[in-house]
Order: sequence, then structure tokens, then C-alpha cells
Amino acid sequence: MRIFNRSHVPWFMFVLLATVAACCIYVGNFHPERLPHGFSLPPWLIHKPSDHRSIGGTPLGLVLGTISLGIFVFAALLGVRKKLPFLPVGNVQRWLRGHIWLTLLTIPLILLHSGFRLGGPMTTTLMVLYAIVMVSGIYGLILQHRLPTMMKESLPAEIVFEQIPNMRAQLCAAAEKLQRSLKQQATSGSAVVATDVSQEEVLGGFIEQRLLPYLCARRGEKYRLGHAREADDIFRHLRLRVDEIYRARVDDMRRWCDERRLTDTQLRMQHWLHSWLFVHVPLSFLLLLMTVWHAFVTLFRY
Amino acid sequence: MNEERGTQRDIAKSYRDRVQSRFTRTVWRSARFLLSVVLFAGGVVAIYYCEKEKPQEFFNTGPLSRSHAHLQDGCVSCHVPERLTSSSAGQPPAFFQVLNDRFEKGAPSFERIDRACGQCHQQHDFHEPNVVTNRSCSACHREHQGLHGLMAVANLDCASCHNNSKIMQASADRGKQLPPTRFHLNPKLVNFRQVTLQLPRPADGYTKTFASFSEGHPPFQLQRDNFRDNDVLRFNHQRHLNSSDIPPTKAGKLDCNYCHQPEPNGRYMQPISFEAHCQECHSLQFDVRNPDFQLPHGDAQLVRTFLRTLPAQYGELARRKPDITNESQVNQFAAQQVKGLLRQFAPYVERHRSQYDNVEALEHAVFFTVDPYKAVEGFDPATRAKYTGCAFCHEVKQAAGVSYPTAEITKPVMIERWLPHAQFSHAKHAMVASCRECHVAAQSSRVTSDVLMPTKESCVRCHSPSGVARKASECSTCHLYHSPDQPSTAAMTDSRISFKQMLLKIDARGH
Repeated sequence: MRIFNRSHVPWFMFVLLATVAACCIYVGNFHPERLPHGFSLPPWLIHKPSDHRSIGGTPLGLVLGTISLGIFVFAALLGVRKKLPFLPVGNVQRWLRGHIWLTLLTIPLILLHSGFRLGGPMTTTLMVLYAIVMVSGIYGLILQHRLPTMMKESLPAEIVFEQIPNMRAQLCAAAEKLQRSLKQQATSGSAVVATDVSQEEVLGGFIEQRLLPYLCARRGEKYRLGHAREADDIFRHLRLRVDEIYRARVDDMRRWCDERRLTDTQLRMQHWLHSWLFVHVPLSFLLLLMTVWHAFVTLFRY
Repeated sequence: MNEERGTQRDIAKSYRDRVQSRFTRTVWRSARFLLSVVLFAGGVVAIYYCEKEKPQEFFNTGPLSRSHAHLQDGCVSCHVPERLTSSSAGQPPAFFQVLNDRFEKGAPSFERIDRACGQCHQQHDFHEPNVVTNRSCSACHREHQGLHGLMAVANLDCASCHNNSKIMQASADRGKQLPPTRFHLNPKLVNFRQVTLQLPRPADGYTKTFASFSEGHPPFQLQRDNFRDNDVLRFNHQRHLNSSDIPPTKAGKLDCNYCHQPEPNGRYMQPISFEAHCQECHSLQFDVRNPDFQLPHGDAQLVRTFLRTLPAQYGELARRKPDITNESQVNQFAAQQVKGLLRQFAPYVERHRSQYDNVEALEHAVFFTVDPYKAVEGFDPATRAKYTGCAFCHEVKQAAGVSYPTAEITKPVMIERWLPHAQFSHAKHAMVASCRECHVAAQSSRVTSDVLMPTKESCVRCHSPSGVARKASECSTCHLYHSPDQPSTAAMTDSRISFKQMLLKIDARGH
């Protein structure tokens, strides 16, 4: 999702204002001497003085931590929202915008909650998890920003990511079908077309030895047909070896290879585009679990 | 290339018949899901393990103090788990009560931890009775800060009240409403035999607002009140420290350390005694012909008895001499010595003949004369006795209503601890400064009533953020927050008793 557009401005303003407000309340409560001269918080924003040394344990720290935990829960619900598109709770775009900006808001909230300290092993573990989740999320956000532009420039046609395996299977099926028809023609000696068995064998052999292994392979870049320049040479050579009547089929094969190469490129980019989720999503759930536990232990055990 | 691309709708159209269900799982997505499940399950297992085994290291926010490092029950000794179920059906669930409490007062619950503290630390009181904002133990004594962190109370903890004018005013107001007997007069003393100065509590108590020792701490009370030492023993520091005509002692030239010797723990000075610190110069040898024959010290009645039984005392002395073998020689020796002694005091005896007989005049001379030998003209100073008379140092009074010269010597009370609200270690300070650098007034003091304690400014020179001892400029460097175990008795704090009575720990009824 691109965040530099008009729909994100309200979110940006909200996060900015919330951060400033949280910082002012934090400073006003814990370091009132650092407030600008003549500036003071209204009494209802000043918490009852607490003997607690760790900011997180103070009433204000608990409020900051609770808001952050609420945002974590909301962020985790994005996956559920994607799976249940029929729910009348706003479209996915809005949820995603909220996911991005509210989780960004947790950075100042968590820092203020922790009092800029790591604490003991338990809270340090939480902070490390949080840092990984946030860094991976921001990395993903940057990729989401950059890669679509690159894809638009390098991919003439974009395929739905989830349909790429299906697409590949269909390409393989088309190649196999052509191979079968060529074999059939070679054995039957079609009357319609002046057949040249050796050329059909050439095409059949090409499909069997070169095209099908490439189209059915998991990783196409290992094959010569996976590289555009080499594929050009191969198909130009193949065109020269067959008559005019087969050249349309050679062009079809060439188009399939182009399409396969396209899916490879897209897949590669899509892997870049989604690989961060491999870190982000599992650790997010772990972070949520550990945060709930942290809250429970802090509130009821300490 | 863009021309080949077409619109999204065109692309979708080209794949319309080839698109499968939107829920198609890719390997990556499945792997991601699996990894999420594995990690989540791992987290649950880890939590289960921690809940069951309770590994202290994982929850511990820092190393425990030395005194708490080996508590038998571990974390639970202080962090008692909260009950989350209500005790009876009519009550709201304890879970929400606890939650409300935490969001109101913070977490962890200091009340619970304080209760745990109280199970072991039962023998101390909390500060003064006029405290208006009583704080938790954990507020000042920070646990999980290392071996020595528990006692390292920060200035800010004290300043949170003492630098808050509202709190201090409220404390002053509350203090005025409380009976004086509620206040602890003495802080924790190093030893209870120590003679400690106890000044009366100011009207407002100790409620001046200030930030730290170097910033606004009031002058020491004895200097602010211009306190004078009421001790009756005459002593001239200037004469003893600066005079060149005082012969060196066995330990060398007379200096501060000759009399003021630190206790074995190095904190305060040992009591000064006549035998240890004065007698070498101020001998009680009163008969020049018998240098070993000395007056007793410490009890006027004993001295009087000694003088009244001089023949018998000389007889005892004679019996120790090898050349005197029979009783007649003993009696003869005693008579001679008494006569000789009276000759030494002859001018004095003659002067008081109208009032006293010989023995009474001698007794009067011993007790009341500042220097009984001054009157002996032409007496050889080299052979003169060193005794100078009780009144040379002591306050000697004639007993009221008695015509006979019955002397009463006021018992000297030498204060050994002048700043009872603070702790001090001479040993630590002796490493960085000489006695005279702090006790400046000792050089020029001529009378006992001079108080020779250093001023607050003198201490601030080092004990301030910019001073040499900046690390030791915390309130807790000198002061203790906790009051002594037992409050002082009512009699001790009664304003009607004299300062001396207070020092001597005698109540108004004389007990």
C-alpha cells in the first residue's frame, strides 16, 4: 500500500498529534521541570503521584501500555478481516491504513511506556520481538511502496499472485497438448497439411527436451529458455528449422515462454514483496501472546 | 511495454476462465501459517513452563540486593500473587478490583510488597509522626539494583517531600497539632552510652523547603540557634594547641589526636577521660616530698576522706618503704609528712586560720584554690608539685547550708555527638582532611562554651555536586529516614526539664 496519498493525511495527522500529546503528558507527569516555561498540563491530565520507579508501572504507564496492547490486537485482526470480507466493518483498505498508522503510533507509546529502558529479561525479550516486528513491518511498507512501481515498469502484464501456480499449470498443459497433437499428426500423416515428419519430430523433441522441462520447472531461471536473450536465439533458430506452417506454433511456444518468464519475474518480485511477512506475521502473533502474558504478570503477579 | 500491458480489467478478463478459488493456498502462505502456529505454540509452551517452573532469572528486572539475594521463597517472598476470585458471592470479582487498583495506584502493588517487608522488618518506625505523605518502602529502597542498591536512596526521594512547599507546610501544621512526645528526639545512636546533644525541636519542626544539601539545606541547628556549650569543665583549646611552653607529652607534641581518639569503628570520638588524656600533664601529685603520693580523682567525697585520713594514708605509704620496719617509725613518718605538707600550705592556712583549723584549711586549699602553690614564695618550680587545685579545671561550689568547707564539684558533661540527626565517620574524613581544616574555630577557642563544630558551608565545600565528594552529597550520606526503634520517653521531652537533666538522662522528678 502506498502511504503518500491524500487518504493517509488524516491518519498521519492523527498519529502526529497523538504522539505529541503522549509526549507532553509524559513529560508533564514525569519531568515537569522540562516543560516550556509557563506551560503546564491541566490537572485532569496529571496522574496521582506514584512511588513507582519504572514508568510502565505507573498509572499513566499502564494506560500507555494498554493502548499499545489494544493496537496490537487490532493489528492482528487485519488477517481475520481479510479472510472474512463479508463483515460490515469497513473495507480492507481502511483496515490496512489503520494497521499501518496505529502500529506506527505504538512506537512512541511503547517507548514512553518503557521509560526508554529495556528492563529485565522478560521485557527485553518483548522489546526485541517488538523491534523485529516493527522493523519488518516498516521494511515491508517500504517494499510495498517501491516494488509496485518497479513491477509496473518491468512487467507488461501482472498476474494475481495466488494464480501464478495455476497459470504455470495451464502453460504446461498447453505445451503438452501441442506435443500430443504433433505426435498425432506425425503418426497419422494428416492429409490437410503437407506434413514433414522430421519437422514435427523437431518440434516434438523441442517441446519434450526444452519447453516442457522449462514450463513445468519450479525455478525457470535455471533453464536457457528462462533468459530472454537466449530464448530469442533458440526460437529464431527453431523458426528457421521449420516451415512457415509451423511458425505460428513456434510463436505460441515463444509466447508461453515469455509468459512463464513473466510469472518468474513477478514471482521473484512477489517474493520480495511478501517475504517480510514470513518474519512479520508469525512474530506478530508471538508478540501479541507475550504482551498479553506480560500484562497479566505485571498486573496480577508482581 | 506499457502499451502491451493493458488495463487491469483487460488483464482480469484474460485470466477470467483460468482463475481458481481465491482461497488457493500457496506453499509460501502455508509455510507462513505453519510457522505462525509453531511460534505461537512455542510461546504457549514457554509461558506454561515459566508459570510452572518460575525461572527467577527471566522475571528478574535486575540483581537483588545482598540482604535479599538468598530469600528462601524466591520471588514470592515479596511478590505475593494476587487472588483473582472474590471470597464471597456478593462481592464483585476480585479481578476487576485488582485491575482498578492497578490503574489507580500503579503496578506492582506496593501495599502487598510493604506487607511482605513488614514480615521481616518489624522493628522500625517510619520517619516522623508529622509526615503527611507516607511512602512505600520500595519507593526509596529500590530492589533489583545490585548488591548495594537497596540502601542507595536518591536525593530526589527526599526532595519529593522536602522540596515541596505544600507538603512541608502541611507537615509543619500537622506537627503543631501533635504532642511533643510523639517525636523521636534521638536518631539511631551508634551506642546508647554516647552523650548526645539534643536541642529542642523548632516550632515548625524540620520543615524548611530545600532541594539538596548544597541547595537550600538550612544551617546546622546548633549554629542557627547560636548554641553555647554548657559544660562546666574549663578548657582552653588555643592554649593547648598553640602554646610553645607546653612540654611535649610521651606521645609527642600536644595535638588534637592526643585527646580526641576515634572509636574502633572510626565514626565518632571516644570519651575523654582524665586518666587517659589529662593526667600526664595535670598530675594529682600534691606533696613535693612524696611524688608517688597522689590525690584520688572522680569523686569529691573520696578526696575529702583521703584528706581527712592523711596520717593513715602516710602510714600506708611508710609501710611500703623498705627502711621503715616498725610501727613507731610509721607513726613518726606520718607525723613528719603531715607537718611538712602543712608547711607547704602555710601561707594559705595562715590566711584562713580565723575560719578553719589546719586540716580544714588544707581541704579548702585543695578544692577551691586555682593554684594552691602560687602563694608559696621562693618555692623551687623544679620541685614543686604539679597539682594545681580542683578549681583549676572544675566548677567547685561550697555546699549550701554548711559552714564547714564542703566542696561540691559539678560533674562535667562532655558532648560526644553534636549533630545527632546526622551520621558521621571521622575515619573517612581523616583520609582527606586534617582536623583543623574542618574544626577551624579550635585554633582560636579560649573558652569551653565555644562550639567548635564545622559549619554547613564547610561541609558543602566537598559534599556538593561540584565538590570533591560529589558522589557523597546525597541526603542519605548523613541522614537516616527511619526513626529509632523506641520513641523517647515523655519525661525526656518535657520542656520543663533542663538541658543538663536531658543530657544526664534525668527526668523532671530527678530519677
